[in-house]
Amino acid sequence: MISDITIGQFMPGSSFIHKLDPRMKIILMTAIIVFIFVVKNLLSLGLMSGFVVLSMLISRIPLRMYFKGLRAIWFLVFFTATLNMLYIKGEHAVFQYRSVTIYEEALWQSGFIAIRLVMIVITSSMLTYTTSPTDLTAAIERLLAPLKLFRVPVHELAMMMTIALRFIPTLLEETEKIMNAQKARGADMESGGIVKRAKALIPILIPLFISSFRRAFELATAMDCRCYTGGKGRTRLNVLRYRFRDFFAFLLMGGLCAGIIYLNTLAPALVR
Amino acid sequence: MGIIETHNLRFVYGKGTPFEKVALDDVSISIEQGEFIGVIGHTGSGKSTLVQLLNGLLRPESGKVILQGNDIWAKPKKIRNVRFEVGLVFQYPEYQLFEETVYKDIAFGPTNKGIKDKDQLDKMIRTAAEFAGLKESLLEKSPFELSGGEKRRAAIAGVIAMQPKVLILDEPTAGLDPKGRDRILDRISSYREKTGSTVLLVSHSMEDIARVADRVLVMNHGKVEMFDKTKNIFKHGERLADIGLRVPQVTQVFLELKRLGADVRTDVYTMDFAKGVAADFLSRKDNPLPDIPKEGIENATQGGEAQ
Amino acid sequence: MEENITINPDNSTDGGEIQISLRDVYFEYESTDESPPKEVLHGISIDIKKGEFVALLGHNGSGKSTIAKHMNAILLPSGGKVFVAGMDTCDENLLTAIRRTVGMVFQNPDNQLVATIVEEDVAFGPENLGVPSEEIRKTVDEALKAVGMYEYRRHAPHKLSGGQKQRVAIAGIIAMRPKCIVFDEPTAMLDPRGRQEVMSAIDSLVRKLGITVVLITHYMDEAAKADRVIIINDGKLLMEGKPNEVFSHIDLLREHHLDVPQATELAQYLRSLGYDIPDDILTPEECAAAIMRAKK
Repeated sequence: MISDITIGQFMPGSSFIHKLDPRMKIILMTAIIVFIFVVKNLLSLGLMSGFVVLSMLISRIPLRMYFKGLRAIWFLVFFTATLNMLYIKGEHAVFQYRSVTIYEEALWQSGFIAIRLVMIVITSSMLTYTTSPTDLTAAIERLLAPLKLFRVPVHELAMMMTIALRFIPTLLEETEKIMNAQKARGADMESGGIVKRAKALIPILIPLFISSFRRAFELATAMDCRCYTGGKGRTRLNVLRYRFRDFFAFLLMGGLCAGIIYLNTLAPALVR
Repeated sequence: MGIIETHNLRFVYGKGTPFEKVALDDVSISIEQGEFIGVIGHTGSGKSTLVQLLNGLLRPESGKVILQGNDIWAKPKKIRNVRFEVGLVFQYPEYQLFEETVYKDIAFGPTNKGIKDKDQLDKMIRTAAEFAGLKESLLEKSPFELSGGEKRRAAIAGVIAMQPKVLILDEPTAGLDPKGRDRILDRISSYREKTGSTVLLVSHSMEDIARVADRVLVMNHGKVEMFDKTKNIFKHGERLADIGLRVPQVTQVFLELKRLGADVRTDVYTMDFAKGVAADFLSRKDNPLPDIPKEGIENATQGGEAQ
Repeated sequence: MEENITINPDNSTDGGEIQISLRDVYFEYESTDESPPKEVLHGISIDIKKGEFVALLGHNGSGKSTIAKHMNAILLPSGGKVFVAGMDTCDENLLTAIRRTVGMVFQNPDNQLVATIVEEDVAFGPENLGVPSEEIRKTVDEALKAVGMYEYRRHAPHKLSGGQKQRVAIAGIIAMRPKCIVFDEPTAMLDPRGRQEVMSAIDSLVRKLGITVVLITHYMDEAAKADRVIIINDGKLLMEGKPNEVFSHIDLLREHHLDVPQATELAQYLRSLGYDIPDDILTPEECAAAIMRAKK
């Protein structure tokens, strides 16, 4: 069923990572992603991979969930790796067939890129698996708060995100209902070429748009009735507070970054 | 042989996932040509799953749906044809309207059915609109300009226009006011009378079902709880209440009388019949208990059924 | 902004016994190029008293929803005045004060819930009002308990049944501690079980929390539970009174396409035959008891 698809599926739990402040999690994830690109040789790559694998274990999210997240990008990883392999020139050719030459450097590099991509996906899945969408939104709102000085409507953006998250399952369910209703009137969505299939979407999209507008209108009235007047003067049910474990994680991260920079200097770089 | 039958129908949602749920289990029913069937059951009883299996929107895990003697899944590629024979009007069908005019929207089904002849198409649309009680002047309007009740009837016309042999309506009166509700029930009844089609009406409202159905199918936990003539169903008021269904208020009056020790029948479900039975009960001056001639009751039954 | 308003409604000024007062209200929807202005309300006057449970009946298009929307300044009268606890709804400065006095619950529960977790949705109102966090926590828990949804506080709204969603919506309003809640056909989209859940939640608001309730509905059995029933037709008041008084006018109700509780109709019929049956029967139990008495 369509409605089984969930966006950024959160898996409740009580691991160390689950308990971290969502703001800290976002900061740490950003740091990890940045440092994945800082990694230059096998030593630092080993340290980074070790850290990511350790985090995966600590998060107590079933490993197959991470692989599920990877399934979607498998093709991308393969594609980029292949391209790199074919285009990067080096000195030691390891394989030659007609005009295609593959160099040793290219193999290292594409392997590196593949591992980087995989680690980025794993890290960001870890964030969404261990953080509820509401916490995530609240954290983004807090982290972006300084942008208010530049008149960026941070609160409004966060509110939009919350509402989107709230209504995605509702709209998916609605899409399925409309599809069934049109199928019951003999709509043919399974056959024909691209043009025919695109046309077949009209009877689904129009009712969906109309009902979304109706929902938006009703929701706006309901929010008015609950005294919503924007972000000014608002308080929150759940206040985010940094705790000892957040500082601990932060220090650990600092150590990791320093370690990577240090290890980078010990051996020659394998990637540019 | 019935016009539509099911043999040991079984359906499971989310097969192979942790959310696996048996929605329908071992359902075998047979519906005759021209019958008006009421389908009741609380949310999650499997009634919505059943109707979607009947028109091939869902494919049973096991068991068969037999339409006019043929298994509808004999040729899976031709399943779309079944939907023209078994017309299904979903709950809140007004949300499926999408065309520029009501006329074009009603034409969607017949066009999909492959009707190309303009005159024939026109006739199908106008007949359907008439059955649904839509005025000619509404046909050229945008469906989004209509009132709530009109929209609903336009959507029903869109299914009737395919001229299905079996018409299924899922909660066609949900959310309407009494006026809109009466109008739709009247229209469906007269459609059935004039075309002789088979109609299945899914509803939460016992009052609605009591008014129109010949036979009632009661679903509970994915199984057939009862399937019998309407008056026989309402004899089991207590059982219906047990499985979370509300019997009509008049029936409740007689169930309560019985509980208070009165010797009354409890298969009362329409107002006119109730008036007769209650008056009869009060006029039996001398013997409040037993000893009533059986013929009297039988006659009352006849009177009740004539309503 | 009224920074000085506290969450406790008793601290704000109370204009006496009458909580909502519609005085000769006229309303018309603004005209577009093609259509002339459509008048919906023609001089409606209604007073809702503190702690009262009032049901508003009428068929679609009678103007009853329009009346409801006047009660917390979603719509403003084109003629006449509406006062909420003595506050004129046309005064824009009082908007927040009015909306926290009169809360509103709508027909479609899906389109009222804002957050992805039940308790965060309930907190939405108090958050908007700037209530301190610890107090929001207390208010939210109380509100969820009042509608029997406390165990579901960490659930996602879209996984709940219709009746449960609607109870969460009610909790979201209770959390703002209003004195009055207006319900605009809250059960129209629910199954019988959901209807019952919502009706018993409404019942406990009136009886236990002392909240004034205005209920707009098509269902006569729901209206029968009210202290007072008001019937609206074509933007005018058609009838007003205790449920048993109003429902005794069977023919008039029929004429305006309204249902009559079947128990009432049956009792009236037997009464017309000359049996000694009281004229204020509303429920099947009352009807059966009356028939038994008449029998003796």
